[in-house]
Amino acid sequence: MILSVATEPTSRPAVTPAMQAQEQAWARAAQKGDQAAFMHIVEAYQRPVYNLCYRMLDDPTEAEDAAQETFLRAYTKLKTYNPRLKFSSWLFSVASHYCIDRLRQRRYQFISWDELPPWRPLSTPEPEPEDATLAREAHDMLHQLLDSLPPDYRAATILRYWYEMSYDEIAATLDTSVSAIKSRLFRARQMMAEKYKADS
Amino acid sequence: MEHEKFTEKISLWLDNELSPAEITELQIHLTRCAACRQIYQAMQRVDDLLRRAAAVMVEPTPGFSPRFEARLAQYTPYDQRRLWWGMIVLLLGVTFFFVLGAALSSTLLVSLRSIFFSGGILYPWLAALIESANNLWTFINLGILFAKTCLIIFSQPLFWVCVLVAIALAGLWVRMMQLIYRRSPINVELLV
Repeated sequence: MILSVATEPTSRPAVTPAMQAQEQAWARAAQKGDQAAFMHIVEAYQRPVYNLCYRMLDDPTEAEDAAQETFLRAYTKLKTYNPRLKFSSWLFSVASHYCIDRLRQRRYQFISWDELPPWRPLSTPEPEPEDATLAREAHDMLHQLLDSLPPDYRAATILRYWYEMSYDEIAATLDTSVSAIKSRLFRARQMMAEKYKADS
Repeated sequence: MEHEKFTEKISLWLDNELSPAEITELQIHLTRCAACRQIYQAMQRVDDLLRRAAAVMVEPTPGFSPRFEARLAQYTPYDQRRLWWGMIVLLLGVTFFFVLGAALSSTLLVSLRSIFFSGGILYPWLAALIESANNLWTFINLGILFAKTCLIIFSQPLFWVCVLVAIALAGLWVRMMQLIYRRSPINVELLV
């Protein structure tokens, strides 16, 4: 039996030192009250921040709101940003904490029938191409797996896979220790593996 | 416990955090232990699924930046309103606790005065106190009397009702301050 793990990194645009220097310059200008500089940051980071919020909240409308809220919080808390640290990590930290809080609040929310989205059949009457069906199944499975995780575990998993962060970077982003991150990723994988086995 | 140790290592292996020696040890264990091998296979499938999904970055709908700019423009007046409300609640809270503290301390003082100076005559009592200051027993008696007074006050149900109400109101006040200063506006109109 051959036992191995996939080690090849997924394609992710690399952040060059020049880009980092540019971000730092925008951040410093925004800290001094330059709103145009902050809008450059919004342009540059809207996609990764939105993606993080979407993967955390699993709803496009909520993700939009959370991403906007992240930038708003970042703008109002810019003075607390330490320019010696990576700006992206600080921004993802704001987004992660906001989404974790929102997921925790969700557990205590009561939704009336009127607020639910309109009913939608699970399968469309027209047959789908096989590839599309497989992709949809994989997408549904992915969201079921992520939904089964507690908010903290989910954030660590998303930062690890979608943002290829190291344990140190995830720990710094989520304000915790490296050993806690190792434990969260292990528990998350364990929970997802159990769900995967049960569902398939 | 042994399985737990190895399943933890599977997670580290998926993250390329194991040394070659540890990988060899884990691989040997996996060939021998069916339970761990099942966990490994399930974890690896989940890992594959996540890696494939992670290749896709979901994008916001076009016009994200202008929507944010509009939200930011609405933020400042809202923030100032929050600041004013915060100041009002803070002032009300401080005034309330000042009045409550004054009322409680005056109640205590009145009670002490009524016990120590039954006739309301201060100076003769003070003179007597100074005269007998060299008498240790007088001080001990005074101490006992003071303790008894405190016990009388603390044993009153009304006193504890007041304390509990004060604690509840303090909690409510702190929560209000948190809500005013921590919650940021969520503008539903901009989401449409």
